[in-house]
Amino acid sequence: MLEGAVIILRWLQFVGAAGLFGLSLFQLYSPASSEAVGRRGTLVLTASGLIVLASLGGLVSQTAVMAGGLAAALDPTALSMVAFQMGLGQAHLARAALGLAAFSLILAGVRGRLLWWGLAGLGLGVCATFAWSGHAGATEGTLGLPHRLSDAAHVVAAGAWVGALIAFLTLVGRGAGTDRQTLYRALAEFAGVGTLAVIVLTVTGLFNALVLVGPAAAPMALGTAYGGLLAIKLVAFAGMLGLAAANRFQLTPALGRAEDEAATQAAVNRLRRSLMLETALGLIVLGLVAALGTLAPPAALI
Amino acid sequence: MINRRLALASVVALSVAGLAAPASAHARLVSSTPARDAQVASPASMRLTFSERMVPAFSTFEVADSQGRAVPVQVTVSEDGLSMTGTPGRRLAAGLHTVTWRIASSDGHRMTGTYTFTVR
Repeated sequence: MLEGAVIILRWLQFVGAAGLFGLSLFQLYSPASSEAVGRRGTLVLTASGLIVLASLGGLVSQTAVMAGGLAAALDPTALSMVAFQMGLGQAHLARAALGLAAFSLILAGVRGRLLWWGLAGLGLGVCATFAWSGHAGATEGTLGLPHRLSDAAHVVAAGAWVGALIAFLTLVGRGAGTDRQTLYRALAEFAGVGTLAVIVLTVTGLFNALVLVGPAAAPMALGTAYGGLLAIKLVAFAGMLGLAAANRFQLTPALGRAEDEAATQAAVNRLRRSLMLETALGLIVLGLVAALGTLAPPAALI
Repeated sequence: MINRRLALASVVALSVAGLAAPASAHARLVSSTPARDAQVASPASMRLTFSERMVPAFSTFEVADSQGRAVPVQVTVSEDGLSMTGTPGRRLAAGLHTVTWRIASSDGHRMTGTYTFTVR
């Protein structure tokens, strides 16, 4: 049960990070930032709060797993040891602090590009901290720092992509009233960011797999819980790629070509369904990664 | 509409995550003195060595005699974090003894294990 709580809290931290970083970054690069920020603003505030609560909860739950129970974890000595003396704990504290800073920045009334630059920076920090609370945080020797940097880049790219998906959903939602031309430009111009994210995810993903699975353990990897979930993650990732490609090469051009209101509505409806499916897959990938963090990587089993 | 679909996606994601909940066990007991199944004289000290560094605050082992009674053991973790040494508080009586160890790794995993040895 404690392991389940760890996984759920990890997932919530990932979702919060994607919301804070990805949505803020979206406001900086997307032509759609000219649209009323309403929903995206609420989501960013929620994401910041979620990061604070889930990080603190995650700290307690991770301590509980190591200490053998929740009662043992609530002992101030145990909790402060983990929080201040272990990289795992420090990462959770840093995450909570960054989330709190983001929350405060919004409530303080900062607005405009200054706000989004600040939030994107804080969100970037939140994404990077995951490298110290996952398996990369435990990689020792010369591979340690490269693995952590690769992991940080991996989370940043994932956050940018999932956050952008959430942003697009706010634009194509029923009743969003997004200007058609702006929506088209936002979708079309996302191709650059999207491509960069996919390249970073692929390169860093391969490197991380090399360290955590490795050539020696690869033959038996699929027989492990870790290997099985990783395989599902890759399938889901491939699904997201397919949907993104369909958006870019079919659905978005169709929106651009639509000549009347009916055609426009049809195109937007198709985009909405595709984006929802892609977002659902993204959330599933985050769930799989949350679980993978609690399992033994094949490289550690041989 | 969006909220319901995303809620469904969240449930799916969490279900997948929940199914994978069982804990891992990737730090292995590499060696111990007394060794598993060994027949020895009452040991003055005991040592367990693992394949991964452990977090001292959450790592320890216990010894129980053939009646299941706990033998007091003073456990310390080595500098390199790879082994723990225990000094029994008293001579071990003849018979089967059970060692139960539990350790935590720096990435938050908890591992437990047990083995027995016999005192002549």
